[in-house]
Parts: sequence; C-alpha cells; structure tokens
Amino acid sequence: MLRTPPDVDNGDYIGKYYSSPGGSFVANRQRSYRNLVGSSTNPGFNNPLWVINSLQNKSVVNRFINATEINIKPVNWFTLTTRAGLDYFTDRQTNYFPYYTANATTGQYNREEYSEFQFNLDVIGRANYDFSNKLSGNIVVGFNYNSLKTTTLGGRSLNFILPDGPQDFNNATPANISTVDRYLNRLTNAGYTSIGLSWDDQLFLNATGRLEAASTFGQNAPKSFFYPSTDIAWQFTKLKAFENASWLSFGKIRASVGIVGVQPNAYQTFTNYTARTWGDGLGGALDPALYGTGSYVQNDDKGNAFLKPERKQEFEFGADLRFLNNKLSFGFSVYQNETKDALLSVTQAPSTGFNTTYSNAGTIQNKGIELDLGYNLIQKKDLTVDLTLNWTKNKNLVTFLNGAGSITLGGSAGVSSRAVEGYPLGILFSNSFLKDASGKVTLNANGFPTVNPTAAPIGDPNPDWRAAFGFNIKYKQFYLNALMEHSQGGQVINGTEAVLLDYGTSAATGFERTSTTNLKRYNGTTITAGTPFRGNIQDFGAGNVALDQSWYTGPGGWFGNVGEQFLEDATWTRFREINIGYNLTNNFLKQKLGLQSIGIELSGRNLFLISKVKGYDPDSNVSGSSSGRGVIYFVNPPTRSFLFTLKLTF
Amino acid sequence: MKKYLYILLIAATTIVSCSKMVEGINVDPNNPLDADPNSMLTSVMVGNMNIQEGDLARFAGMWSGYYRGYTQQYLSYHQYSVIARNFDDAWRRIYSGDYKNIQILKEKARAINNRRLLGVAQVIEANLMGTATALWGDIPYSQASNEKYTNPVFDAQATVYANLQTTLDSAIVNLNSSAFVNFSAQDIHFAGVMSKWIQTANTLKARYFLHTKDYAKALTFAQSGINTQANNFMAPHNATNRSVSNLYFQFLSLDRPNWIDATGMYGVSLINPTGTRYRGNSKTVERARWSFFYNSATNVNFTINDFFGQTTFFPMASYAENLLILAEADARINGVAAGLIRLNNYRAYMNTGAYINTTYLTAGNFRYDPYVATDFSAGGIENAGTPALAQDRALLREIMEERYITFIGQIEGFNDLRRTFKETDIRVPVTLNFGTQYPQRFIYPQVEIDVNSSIPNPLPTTFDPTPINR
Repeated sequence: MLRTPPDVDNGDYIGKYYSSPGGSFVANRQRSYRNLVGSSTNPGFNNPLWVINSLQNKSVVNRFINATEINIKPVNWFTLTTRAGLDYFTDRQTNYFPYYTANATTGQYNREEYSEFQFNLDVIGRANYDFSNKLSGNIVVGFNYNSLKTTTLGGRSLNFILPDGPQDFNNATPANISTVDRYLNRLTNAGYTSIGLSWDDQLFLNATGRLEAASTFGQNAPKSFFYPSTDIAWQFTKLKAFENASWLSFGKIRASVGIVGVQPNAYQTFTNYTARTWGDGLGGALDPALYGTGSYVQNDDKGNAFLKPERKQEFEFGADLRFLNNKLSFGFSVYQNETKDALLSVTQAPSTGFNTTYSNAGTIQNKGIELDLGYNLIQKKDLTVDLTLNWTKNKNLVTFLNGAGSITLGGSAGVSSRAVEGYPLGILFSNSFLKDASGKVTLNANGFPTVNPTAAPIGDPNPDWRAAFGFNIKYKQFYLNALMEHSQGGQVINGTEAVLLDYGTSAATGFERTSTTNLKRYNGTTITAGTPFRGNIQDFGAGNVALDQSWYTGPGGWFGNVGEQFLEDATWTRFREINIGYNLTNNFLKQKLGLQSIGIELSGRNLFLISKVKGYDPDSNVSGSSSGRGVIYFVNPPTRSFLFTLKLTF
Repeated sequence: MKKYLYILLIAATTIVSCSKMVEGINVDPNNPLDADPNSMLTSVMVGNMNIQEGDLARFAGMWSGYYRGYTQQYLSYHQYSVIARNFDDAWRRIYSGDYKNIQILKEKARAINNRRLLGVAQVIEANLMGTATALWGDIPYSQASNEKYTNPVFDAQATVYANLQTTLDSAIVNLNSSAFVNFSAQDIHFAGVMSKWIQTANTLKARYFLHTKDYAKALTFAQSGINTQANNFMAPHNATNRSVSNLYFQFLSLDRPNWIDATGMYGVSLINPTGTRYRGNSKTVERARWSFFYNSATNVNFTINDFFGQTTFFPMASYAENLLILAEADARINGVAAGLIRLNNYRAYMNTGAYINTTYLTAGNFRYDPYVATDFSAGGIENAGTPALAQDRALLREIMEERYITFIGQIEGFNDLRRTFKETDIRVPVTLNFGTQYPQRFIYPQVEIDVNSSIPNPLPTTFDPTPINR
C-alpha cells in the first residue's frame, strides 16, 4: 500500500481491459498503480485488494499428540519412571495465484503436504537416601531417545492452460509442473545423571551430567559430547543469627556454572550435488532441467565432516532477598556466558569454490545483569496491590569468527544485520558516504557526497538496557494487572522511509521549493533561481544544492545503499499488556453445575507505543525471528489485540 | 570432591548412552553425493549462459549506451552508482557455481579419458573466465576453487588471458581426439559436433587476442573461427517454460517491467532512421536492424522474434563477431585494402539479413552495399567530418561502430569501448549517463572483500581501467 502514491485510488483492483473504445476486452485484469487501466498483464506490484481477494493461501493442520508415563516403585527409596511421547502432525498448504498476479502473470499453483513424526522416550531411575537427619541425597540416572522424521511432498504448476481452471496441477503443461520431495531423519540419544545433596534444608548442591550422541554430528567429530553443570544455593536466613531479624525475612544466595549444547542441523556433513537453477540478479532464472537430459552439479554449500554441537558455558551468581515481612523483595543476577563453536553458516570467498559452510565457527560472549524489585503496597483481606520493576542490561560481543569476515544474518543488499568479529551480534552493515582521512565527507564537483562502494559496520541495533514496570491489583474476585516496557538505545535502519523517498511518496519530499540562487541537482544539471521544484535544499558543505528526484532516486534514497542516512534511535516505551478479570466461585456452581469456578477476563496487548521514530515500530524487523535485527523494510507492525476469555474450571 | 562427582557422573551416563544407534543416518536422502560427468555438462553450460546473458550483460549494456536503467536499483546502476555487494551474486555464479563445477567435470572427464568432453569443458571455462577477467581485470584463477588455497590470489589480468589461450590450445587438441563417451544429448550448444566446438575455440582465442591488443594473433585465429551462422555458439531458448526463456525477456517482460528502456541512448540513436545520429548513408539502410533491437526510439524490442524476445537465442560467440574480428585485425595489421575486403565481407553477410529475424527483412529496410576505399578518404561518405581522419583510421572508426551495433545487448560491446577508450579518433563516442567519467570495469564483490585476504589493496573503483586497458 505504501508503494502507491496517496492520490491513486486502489479501489477497483480487477476489471475488463479494452485496448480501444468499443474494442474487444480481456476479463479479470489486475489494476494497480503501475497498471492503471490494466493495459499490461503485469501489475508491477500487486494491488493490496488483489492480494486480499484474489490470492488464496490455505493451511490445514491435523495433529495427534500422545504421552504415557509409567512409575514403578519397587522399594521405598527408588522409583523407575518410563515416559514415552508421540507427536505427529500434517500440514497441507496450498497457494493459488491467478492470472495477472505480479511475478505469476500466467498463474501459479503450489501445493505441499508436510508431515512430522517425533518420538521421545525417557527411562529414569531415581533413588533417595537420608544419610543423617540433616544430610540427605538423591541420584537420578536416565536415558533419553529422540527421533524426528519429516516428509514433504508437493508440487508447483506455472502457466495455467485455463486461466480460471481448477486448482489442480494438471491445468498446466508437463514442462511447467515441478515437484518437491524431501525427507529428514534425525536421531539423538543421551544418558544423564544428576546427584543432589541437601544439608539442614538450607544448603543445596546439585550436579548433573549429560552425555549426548546425535546423528547430525560430523563423521570426523567425536561421537558424543558431555555436558556437566553444578549449582549451589544457600538459604542463609535459616541460620540462628537471622531467626529474629524481622527486617530480613528471606535470603538466599545462589551460584551456578554449566555447559549446554545445541546440536547441528541434519545433513550438513557432506557436500551434495543438486539440480541447481541458475538465478539471474534481480531477474529470472535458467533451469538446466529444461535443457538436455537434466543435470546435477556440486552444491555451493560445503559439507563439514567435523560438525559438533555448539556449547554454551554459563556462569551465574545471584541473590533473592525479602525484607519487612516479605513486603519488599529484591533479586539480582549477574551472568556471563560464552558460546563456543557457535553453529553458523559461514560465508566463504566464492573463489574458493563455495559460498557457505555450516560450521562451528564463532565465539559469542554475553555479560549481563538483571535486577528485580517487588513491593507489596497493600495487603488487606479483600485488597492486594503489588508493584514490580525489573531492569536488565546485556552486553554482547562476537569475539571470534574463524576468519569468516562477516556473516549476514538478515536484511538486504544495501543494508544488512551481520555477525562481525569485534562487534555485537546483529551489527548493522551498510555503505556510507565517502570520507577523507579526517572523517569529513568528500563532495563531488556538484557539491554532493558520493557513495563508498565498500560496506562496513555503521550501527548497533542492540539496546543499552531494558526495563519493565507492572502492577497487580486484586479486589475480592476482581483483578487488574498491567505491564509497561521500555527499551533504551540501539539503532534501526528505516528502509521503508528510504524507499518512499525514492518513490517520491515520503512526506519529506512533498515540498515545493524556490531558491534565490542557482542550484545544482545531483545529476549535474542546474535549477535556475526562481524556478520552483519539488524536494529540499541542503548544504553538504560546498553551498546549497537541490535535493530532488535526481538525488532521492540516487544516493539519497534506498537504492543508493547509503544506510547511514536512515539510522534512527530505536528507543521505545510500550504498554505491553493489561488484563482485567473476575473469578466467580460459589456453592451453587459447585453443587448444581459441578463447576469449580467461572473466570471472565478482558485483555489488551500492545496498546500504545512511544518512540522517536515515525510510522513504524522500531522493535519490528524485516528478518522475522532470525538473529538479524534492526532493519525495517515494509515490515508488518506487531498487532494490537483485544481478547475476551471465559474460563470454566470443573 | 568435584573430581569424584564428575567421574561418577561420567561413569553413570556412559553406561546408558549409546552412540552406535545414531550412526549412518545423516546421509542426505534428498540430494546425491556425486554425479557422472555427462550429467554435469548441461548445468555447467547453462551456468555460463547465465553469466554471458544475464545481469552482467545488463550492467555492461547500460554502461555502453545500449539502453537505460530507468527505475529503482537500475536507475542507480545506470548512473554508474554501484556498490560492491551488487556483484556478489554474479561472482558467486561464476566461481562457486560454474568455475568449480567445470574443474570437477574436467577431472572426471580425464579420469575416464573422455578427451572431447574435457575439450568442451575447457571452451566453456575460457568463455566464462574470459568474460570475468575482461570485466574485473585481475581475478582469482590459478588458485581458485582449489582446497589448498583458502585465500586465492588475484592473478594479473595478462596472466589470466595467457592461461586462457593455453586452455583453448589444449581444448582444440582434446576436441580433435577420437577418445570420447558420447555426450551429444547433454551438449545443448552443438549436440557433440566437434567441428563447431573447434571453431568456437578459435573465435574465442581471436577475441581474447583482440582484448589484449595482439591483433596479429587475433587475425590468425579468427581465420579458423566460426565460418557460418549455423555454427554460432548460442544460448538456446524456447517458450515452454519461464526458466528456459531468454534472460533479457524474463527481466524486461516478467520480472522487472519498465526498469529498462532506451530513451536518449546512443545505441538507438545510431540506427534509428529518424534519429539525430543515424549512421545510414547511400549504401546503408538500418531500419530492419533497428526494428530487431529496438521497437521505437525509446525502447528495446522484446516482443516475439526480436533480439530480446522470449525464444531468441543469445549469441555468445558468432560468425558476425568473427567477421568483425577479421575486419578490425586485418585493417590494423595490413591496412585499408585488407581491412576493407573484410568489412565488405561482413556487409555482404548483413545484406543477406544475417542474424536479423526474417520478420523485419522487408526489401528496402536493410541495405549494406560494399564500401570502396574512397568512401574513407577525406570527404568520403565515411569520412565527411572535420577534421578528416586518415583513411585507415576512418575505416577503423567505421569497423568499431559496426562492432558496437553488432554487440547490442552483449558484453563485448562494453569490452570494445574500454579497449579503444584512448583511441579517441576511432572509438564510438558514447555519451555519458552521468557525471564526467566513463566506467572502466566492474568492482570487486563485497563477499570477496570481506573474506579473501588476497583482495587487491587499494580497491580499484569503477572508473579505474583494467590493466590491459591502461
């Protein structure tokens, strides 16, 4: 919608196209801003109404979940537990793009059936023993087996024979039908042990170990990996000295150290051959399957026989304290973790023969602190009011990338979010204006800056700190709670604004200017004094110049790739959530209807947002849920939602 | 204490875990681990077609005055404003896509002594890497796609050209061999006809000697080059499916309509019969050729039967090019008389309609009568301007202009402009799209800058000539 100028009516999105008055017509042509009377079969970009009304995307999911648990307790101190779980689902998806859709002007129909089968088995033996009346211990020994199998079967047909024919592959010639046929099989098993000791109900010590083997490890990597962890906690307020200390009602300090692992993706250990299609930059593609007798070539992703799990070593120390009869609570944690052998698809120099290799390449460090504060403002028989506040700060650094230079996590050609050695994860990477040694922008003969063709880190999308404030009010059976959140600092690249500048639909270009002096345009021509033009006047350092179409469709807009112009402060404050509800319990419900309670709740999520940026949510992101962040480009805003919930408890 | 705990933990877990169970199931059931050489051939050929005909040709075309990038990214490109990242994808297709697989294919062909297949792979390699070195100058070659080198060096452009000549010499020997396993079904260019491959190899040799300004050798090898239009080295296309259609057509009509047109471009103005720079004269009528490339003064022609049309085969090395290599080289080496005969050979070929689709070959719309030497003398129809050029220079100017028109849509046009850039008397005076400098090369891609420590430093800009053109 943003791609359409405000004075174009998108209302009629479909219609008959007459090439001349009284001539014959073509039915059901798409009408869009770039195809105002439907004269072309190709609308450029789809009309939003066409997307809503003419395209079809269906997904039907069937799911079956089953879990059983058997407990055997042969003697008082020992339990044997067997837990088995089964999760099976199928997802049938179809997409239908009728004639005259952008990028499918003669129709496209996709259908894919995906099924996933997961089986999980745990056999756990647990023994307890009291060594004395103060010291007790337990030991757990377990075995885990996990199997995942998926299949995908589907196809795609292009160039419909009958434009309005049925949604069926056969409505296309054989050369225009392709199939999807994929399997995945992954197996993990592990043995684990945990030993726990407690002394006098105040000192607790736990140690666990997990030895894991997975089918996804490389053939030249060790067969199994061991993950130990230990934690210790001391509830020191149980000491005699604190027995009568009413100011401190509860106190615990805790520390833990441990290693957890993430196993690699399946099928990354060998270099494959693929029936590749040769895509053209910003254009179409050539598919060798449509030539000769079909063809396979070696993939550009390099298999890795040394794949092993990524390991995260974490150290955490913290305390939980409650004061004044539990009215005030305070907790803090400091942590430091380091992910070693991080699994990343590492960029390769294409001249080596590969584009990427999935490998244990990175070391990523996080250091942080978390503070929690809670205060019980009112505590009466019918009324309680609690306030909570928390504050977190995390510092992230990619310390090692094994010569990979930089790894793109998300974004586009001009601006991307990357992992770069020596910078925080997700650093914004783009081009900038050429600068001289002193950092001053160098200008061309016309007084305009020029683009440095080589990209570099330009901004950090990670916030300095985050905080949340909430309250919880309960009056008899009513309750009301709310949560506000704040994120301080960080940067975001506003790609949407950059494109709108290019299209000339941004408000920033909506001015008619007249200069009293002659002004150079970016393309070198001159706007003479007194001649009105649309755009802006700016002085980059060599006198006023005209920023008009020539500038905004060049370096001044999205396609100039100078991301640093569009960096904005990503600080935001939002009203995340509010819930108001009422719980009803009484004897009538219990006896007559067999109901324990009836709960009614009204909730609102994401109700308002305060930020320095205009027209978008700085927390949204073009790369979705990947680790890439901080790039905005026609992103759907997070939804605001209102919910009504009725809860019946039997 | 901690030590004992760990020993206990490891002992207990080892008993119950088992790595045997998970072995051997990580072999991808969806993709093979290997392929026989015949099965690799078609993809290697299509990969090369993509490089010669795809986005690199479009960049070159915009920078040669053939057509205009009108909107979005293409407007920036048209104004010579490119960033390193714009070349990542093409570079990947060249190296990790095609070049690597050519090396694998060659090795596999050698292993079974399929000499002819080896020869074909060498010709494709020479075509692919010749285009790459022409556009980028120094490029990774001797250490490229070799596991021993993690940072392949950028070989000097002259060395790359010399290596390509050796590769083509070896290819010609192999193509003449009688040792082969039939691959005619996979050979989408010549269906296994060796004589056509040998001619293509010779034309490519001549082309690269021309690039390096070794005109004597260019003349020698062009004489064994493509000797009829039927033997042209073409990228085949048809209309059965989108991904088998001409790449220009896919771009212009399907993927990016209106991103490219020809408004105000030098190329169209030269052959538009009503254009200000129309090159027609009493012996030359260009209306048919104009219609074949452009359907108006303002746009390229990508309707059916046209150069940029859906089913039009794209030339990668042609009889036309070979004739014009002969013309230029002979004129430069042996002077006006020799050059004129060659040019008139080309004009005779054009007079048959040549590569122009028959739809446009209406009598009167094309005419290429032979020139005579006096046409190039001062005051002749091809030397009427002031100051007049020497006769041989005037002939060369006409040959360069003829090459320029013949290469509309092809990278060779851009290569010519840069090669003759310093010969201001005979070069085609294409007008600048923007600013005051002509683009002289493509810049190195961001991905190679980021990862390969052998990347040249300082990085050349778009306006720095490649070594052979300095």
